[in-house]
Amino acid sequence: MGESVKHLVNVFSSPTISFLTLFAIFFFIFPPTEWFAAINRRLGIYKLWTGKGGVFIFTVMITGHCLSLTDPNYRAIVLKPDNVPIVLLLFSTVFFLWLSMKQAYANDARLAQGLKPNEYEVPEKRKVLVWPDLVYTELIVMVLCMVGLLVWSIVLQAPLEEPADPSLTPNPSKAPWYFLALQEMLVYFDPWLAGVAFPTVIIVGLMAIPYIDTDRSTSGYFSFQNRKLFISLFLFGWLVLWVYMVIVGTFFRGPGWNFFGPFERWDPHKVAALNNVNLSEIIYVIALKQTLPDNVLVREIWGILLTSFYFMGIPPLLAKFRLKGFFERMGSMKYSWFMFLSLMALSLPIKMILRWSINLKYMIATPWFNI
Amino acid sequence: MAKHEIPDSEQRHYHPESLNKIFAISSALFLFSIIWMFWKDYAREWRPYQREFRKMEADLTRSSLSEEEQRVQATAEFQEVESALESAVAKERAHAARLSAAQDERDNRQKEYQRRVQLYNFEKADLDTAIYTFEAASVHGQGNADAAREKMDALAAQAALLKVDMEAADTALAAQEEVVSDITARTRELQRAQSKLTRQGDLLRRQLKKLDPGMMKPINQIANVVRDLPILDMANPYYNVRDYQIIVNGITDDLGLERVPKVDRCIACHQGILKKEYAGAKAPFTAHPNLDLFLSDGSPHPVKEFGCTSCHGGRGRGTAFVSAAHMPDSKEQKEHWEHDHHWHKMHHVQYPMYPAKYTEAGCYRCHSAQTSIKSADTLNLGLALIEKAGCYACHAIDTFKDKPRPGPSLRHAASKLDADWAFRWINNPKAFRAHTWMPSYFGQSNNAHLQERTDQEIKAMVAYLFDKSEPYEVATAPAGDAAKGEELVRSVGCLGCHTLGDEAPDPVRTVLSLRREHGPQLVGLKNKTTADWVYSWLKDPKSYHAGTRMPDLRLSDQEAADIAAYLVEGPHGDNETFEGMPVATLDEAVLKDITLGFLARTMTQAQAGEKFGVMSVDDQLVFSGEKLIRKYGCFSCHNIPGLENATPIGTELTEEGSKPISKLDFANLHDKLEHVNFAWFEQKLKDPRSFDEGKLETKHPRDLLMMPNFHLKQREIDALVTVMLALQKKDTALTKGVPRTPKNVFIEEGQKLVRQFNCQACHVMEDEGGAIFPKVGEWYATYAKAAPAEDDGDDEWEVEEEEDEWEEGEEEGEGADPEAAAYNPPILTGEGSKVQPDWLFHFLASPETIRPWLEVRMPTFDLTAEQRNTLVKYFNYLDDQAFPFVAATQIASEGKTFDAAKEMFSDNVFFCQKCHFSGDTAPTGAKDNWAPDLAKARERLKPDWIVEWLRDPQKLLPGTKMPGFWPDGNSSVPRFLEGETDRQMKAIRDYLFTLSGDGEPMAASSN
Repeated sequence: MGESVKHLVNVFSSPTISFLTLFAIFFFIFPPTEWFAAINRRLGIYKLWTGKGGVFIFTVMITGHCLSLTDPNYRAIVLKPDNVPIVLLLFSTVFFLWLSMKQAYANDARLAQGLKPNEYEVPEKRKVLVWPDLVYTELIVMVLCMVGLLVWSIVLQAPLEEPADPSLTPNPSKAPWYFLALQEMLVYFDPWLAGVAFPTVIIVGLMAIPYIDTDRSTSGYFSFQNRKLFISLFLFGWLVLWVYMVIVGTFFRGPGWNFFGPFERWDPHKVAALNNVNLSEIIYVIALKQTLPDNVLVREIWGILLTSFYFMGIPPLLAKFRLKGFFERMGSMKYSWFMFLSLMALSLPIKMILRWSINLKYMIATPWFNI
Repeated sequence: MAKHEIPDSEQRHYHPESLNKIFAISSALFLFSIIWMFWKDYAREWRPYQREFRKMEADLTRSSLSEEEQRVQATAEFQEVESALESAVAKERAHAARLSAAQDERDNRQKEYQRRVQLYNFEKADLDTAIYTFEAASVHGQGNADAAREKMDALAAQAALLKVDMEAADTALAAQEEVVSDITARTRELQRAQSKLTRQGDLLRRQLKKLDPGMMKPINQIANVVRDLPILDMANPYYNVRDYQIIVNGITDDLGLERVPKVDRCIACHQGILKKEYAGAKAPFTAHPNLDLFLSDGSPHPVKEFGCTSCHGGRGRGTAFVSAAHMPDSKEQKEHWEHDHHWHKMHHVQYPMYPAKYTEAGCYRCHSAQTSIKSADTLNLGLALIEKAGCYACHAIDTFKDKPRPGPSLRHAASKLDADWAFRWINNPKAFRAHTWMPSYFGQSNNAHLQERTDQEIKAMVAYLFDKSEPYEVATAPAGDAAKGEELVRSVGCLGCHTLGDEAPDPVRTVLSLRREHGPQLVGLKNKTTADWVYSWLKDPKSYHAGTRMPDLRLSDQEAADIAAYLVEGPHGDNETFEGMPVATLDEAVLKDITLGFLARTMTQAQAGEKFGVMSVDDQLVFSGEKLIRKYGCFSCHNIPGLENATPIGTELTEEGSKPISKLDFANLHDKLEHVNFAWFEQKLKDPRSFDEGKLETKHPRDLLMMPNFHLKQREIDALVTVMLALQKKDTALTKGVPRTPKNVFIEEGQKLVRQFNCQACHVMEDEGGAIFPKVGEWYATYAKAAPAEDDGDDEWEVEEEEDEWEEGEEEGEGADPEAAAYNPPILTGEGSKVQPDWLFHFLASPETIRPWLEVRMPTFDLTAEQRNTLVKYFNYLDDQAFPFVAATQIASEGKTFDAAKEMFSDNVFFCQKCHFSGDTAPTGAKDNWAPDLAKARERLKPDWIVEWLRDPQKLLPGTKMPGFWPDGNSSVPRFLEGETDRQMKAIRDYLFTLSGDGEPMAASSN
């Protein structure tokens, strides 16, 4: 019984399945539009964001974690001193997510009844005394942080490894945990894109948020209903494209950057086939049964057209038909930025799905850069 | 000033009471975690060990103190001094009043003297200042020079006066000191005498006072506790690591990008390691098992210069059981450690400690150039096994790179063997010879099920060998007498390198026993070849195989024929079981599969099919045979026509011990084996094919592992694993290796040759060897002793006594007849100081008879001049001889001295010729005591050596039968040459140098 459950988990956690599942259910949990929200309500998913829901979430997580600890392979990877912060991150991320969603849904309910949100206070009371309230609490937090660091340093020894040897690359070679999502992107994208372009876009995108989402009507309190789209898209980027990838990179990537389930032994000799092809090969060699054209431009024209359409064709089309109201509300500048960032973010899951479904290596493959 | 008031709680965001509570709790947590941190830092593993060892030390010191006190107090001298001291003290007490008055006066004068010294010194300081002021004024014009001079002069005068005063006080004091000491002189003298006797005890007591808190003053007892309290122990703790850490000068640890000095803290816990009193104490306090060789100051490896981890491996900086990277010796020890020390492997330590059974791997770090490393028995066995099994032939190992191929030549196989025999042999060599070093390739764990295929493979290989075999003319042997042959085999020295069928079937192999496996076991020769072939081989081994190590024993035709007859027709000549083993018939379908497989490697399937179509069955056999011999690497050990320059097939092992564990494929044994390199090596040697486990169905037969099985025993595997661990990456920063002096280099080169030609099979050299001695004993018991001694019974002097002496000294051949030792090949200890380099050089080329009574023959090895020079250098450097020239000695062949020597030499005095040959003259005494030819002394022996030999034969060659005629340097015949020892010995030496071939002195003098 235990073994078959473990096997099931191993299979399920492979990125192909887990990512697609996550991708499929994500927007029902965090509905960006009213259509999703209706289904969310019908299924009662919103009940997660209540006290009982929290108990449920954490019971499932903690029980699963504790049961899994009986497995030596799981133990080896989760209790590795390097990985302790990531386990903490996992739990704290869920906790804060739950906390904020709970407050947002509570406020939504109050607003629906015409009440003020929970955070609302009369203006003269919206002050906190520096001394003693602020300074005192900061002192307490400082002391507790020290306690935490001391205990951590006593209990877990520094995870030092062998001296660096230029002639010997450790297998697997992993980036620090906070970069593991970027490293995971390297599986799907050209290093130039995954290592340079994406990080830049992420930083620029985060900086751009206040300029794109200028609606101040809900500032100062938690609310989901009033800004579903933005919250949903942001959480998609944060939870799926970042935290999920960090988890995959940390726990599921083993020797040879092969994928290993949480209960699987990290066998350095595991064999996995990587038969990836470029879009041009799919079109010319597989579909048309021809040889590849010598001219790079001719060869890659399909990829170029598709990519251009993705970034330059989709936004105007949507503005014209599907998101007409949205476009008018945002204005062309903000709309373009919004679309650019969203499409950039979406390109990762799209590329992943294409990789798994049709073994797509690159849309455009040239000797100089690949997309 | 405005008054700041804490706002009342109405205005507060938080409830102050609860904030206070939280603050109190978090502060308490903070305090607790800080205490925890200090405790964690304090509670180190080494501390309880040091406490315990301190108690052990105290107990030991206390018991040796009481022993020492009892010993001293029991001596008459001590009792005498003590009673004398008592009476002296009593006497002194009688003069107490006078003494105290004198002492008071002395003290007063002392004070006065000190007062004056101070006055004088102050005045002198002022004077120095004045001198400086004056110099500054007169030279640099700073201030008034005249006034300065005046002041300086005044001060000088004053100082001179004070000096006189001071000296007067000093004299007075000295006088009074004398008065006092006159009274106490006797007491003090006796006290000094007493403390001289109790010095050892006093030392122990002082030591004990530091060790045992019970012997301390109360204040020291408190300090003793306080200095080791947590936190306070940062100042000057008793228990610490720093005092025991060794920073090894000149040895560094490689950290990849940087080298750091080696720091070993092992002694922080292994407290008794340097003290021999703790031999056998419990871990970790036990003393090092070999303090004469390691750690102690006088040993070749003092701990201050080598540290611990230089040899043992491990993390010297670690101060805890786990972090020092200890490695368990066995599964039981591992479980034991896991229980007692929470042991786990330090994954990231590159060089964990060698498990105890592999410790000798550490020796190799510095001693890799030596052929055998003194007292590293396991490592030596491993190195000898590598050579014997021929590991280096397939697996390149730097230190073995110039060694010859370990197997016999197959160039003329057809002239020696028949194809059926070859098939059976390759199929299962152990069935033919239990002792053979030919490993098993077939019937192994990964190919036993493929017998149908492997049978055809063997057939193909045999076909190739016989097809390519070159002609060799086998001489026809005269009729031989097997009985005579047996005696020859057992006496001339064959058994130095070969074993017969009468050996134990499952011998415990040692370096010594391997010397007797230098050549093949001489069984089953009837099945294998013919008497004619054996005869031809014995007569001239080099004509069959130019590179053979088999020497020429200068056998006569009849002797060779006798031996051939014995080996072929004798009791072990015929192995019927082997002869009855089946030989597979040709299976063309399987052969086709094999042939096509090889063809398809270099061409397409279609081309292969086409090529195959034009091949006859013989073509297929020869073609596949060559490919298979290449595949299995037969040519690595054997000289095979057409494959002389093929590249060895094995992994290079030169740096195998440094190979990262990730490069060793544990395959499906991953969960069964410990994840350490030595476990992998051990498994590989135990069953080389076992890493194919679980892959037999998926792997094509041609991809299966091929390392053959040597059927090694556990001890042999351990020895080989020791060598594998020793084969580390060359440490370029090594500064403490064996120095590359000419002496060491020449000795190492010589050792290589000694090993290659197996000299130690017969001779004892560097206290090792003589593997043949027991066999000589057996021969003696069977043949020589049974025959009546030629001339026995007329012993005139104490031969018996000498023999007793000899018996005690002799170690070899325990249980064997001690008399047989006379027939052993000579022991070559001190050979370099004994024989002349020139003589040795020629002797090695063409041996001549020195000991005519020996049956064992020194073979002719066909050594090149270079090799002979290497050996001559080896012997001479080994004995620290001046090399290569020997000083000439002037020899007188007449005169008084000569006459005296002649008389001493004669049967009237020393009976030299009773044991020694002199030229053609045989000794008159019993054969068991015969000794070398003295007529050869002139050419053979070094003049200085003869004198030293005569002086004390036992010193040069412990156990020799040569009697010493000058016991303790005194002549036993004082009537000659004024009884002067040196003159007598030199005279005899000079006389020996005049002896000619007929045993009589030559007329002319020479050297």
